[in-house]
Amino acid sequence: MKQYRSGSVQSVVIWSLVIALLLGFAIGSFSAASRARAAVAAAEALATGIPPSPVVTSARYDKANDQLVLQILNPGLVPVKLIDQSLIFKPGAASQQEAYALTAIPLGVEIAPLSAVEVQLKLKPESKKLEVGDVLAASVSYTHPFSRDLYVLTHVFSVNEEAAKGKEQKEPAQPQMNQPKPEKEGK
Amino acid sequence: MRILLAILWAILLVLAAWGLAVGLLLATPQELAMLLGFAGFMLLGSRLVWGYGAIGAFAEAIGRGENPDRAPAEAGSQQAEAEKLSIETLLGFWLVALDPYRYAFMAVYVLLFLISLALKLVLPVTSFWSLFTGSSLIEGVFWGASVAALLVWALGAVAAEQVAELAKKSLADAG
Repeated sequence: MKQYRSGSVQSVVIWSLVIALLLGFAIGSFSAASRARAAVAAAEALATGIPPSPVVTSARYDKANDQLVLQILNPGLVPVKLIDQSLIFKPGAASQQEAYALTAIPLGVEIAPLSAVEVQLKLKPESKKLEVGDVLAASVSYTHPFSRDLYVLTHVFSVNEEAAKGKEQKEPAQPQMNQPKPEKEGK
Repeated sequence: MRILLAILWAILLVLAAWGLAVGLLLATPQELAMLLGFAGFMLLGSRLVWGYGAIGAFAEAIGRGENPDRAPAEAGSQQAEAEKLSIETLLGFWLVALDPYRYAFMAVYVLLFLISLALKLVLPVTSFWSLFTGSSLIEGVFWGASVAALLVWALGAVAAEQVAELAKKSLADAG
């Protein structure tokens, strides 16, 4: 019979437990490290990966100043620069105003990461007030620091009874993550 | 006592099932690799686990003064006239008959250890390797295999020690 060397059952059990503790410590560290690596990779992807598009969170018709006010949120971790804006007006049945388009009105607003700004789009001077049924398509072009392309964001604003009175038209709720309080609340 | 142990064992099983379910849902690829390594090496060492477990149980029954069935021990010892052998010799042959599997298991484990070590020590030209290892998946496999190797080693050591104590006891009885 081959000679097996060991102490006793008790010592084998105790040494197994000691080694198991060390092994568990090593495995736990490895697991934690792999999780930390995954978290860092996810944060990096969020910070540098996909250019997050600005989002229009709410829109409002400012009757007194005759302008459309958009709340634009930048949900990403890099600043986004708004270059210019365009507006297309399509009259409803109740409106006396003819259809018109305003293009390439310079804007030059930078939205800091994870923040929102208010952008005013002036309607055509001396145009009639908005009536129920009118439709405005507001386009904002913007650039991203990691790209030389020009992106366009289009928001369609349909005038209903509340919107005609100047009430805030909220977009469907965004996921709450990364959503800060707007810098200026709508008046 | 037995009922208490059974309850504890059931609690452990339920906890293990729950932990595995949650762990699978939340696991990183490295942790899944660890699980696969554990499962794979348990499969590789299944013969050892069952064999050492059976030897331990057999030796324990003999130590308690019971008279267990010799047939599995005779089959496991792989000797021509096993029925004529004494219990201690039979168990010794049975233990030795498992050695090829133990060597194969440990050889594969050491190979895995060397590979994961080499990948840790490799020069910064890791981009090519990381295509295959994907941020050290092989290390996950290694840590999973380590658990299986610990189980196999501890079971083998306990079985060998029980056989040795049985042999010492019968020597003392004879002398």
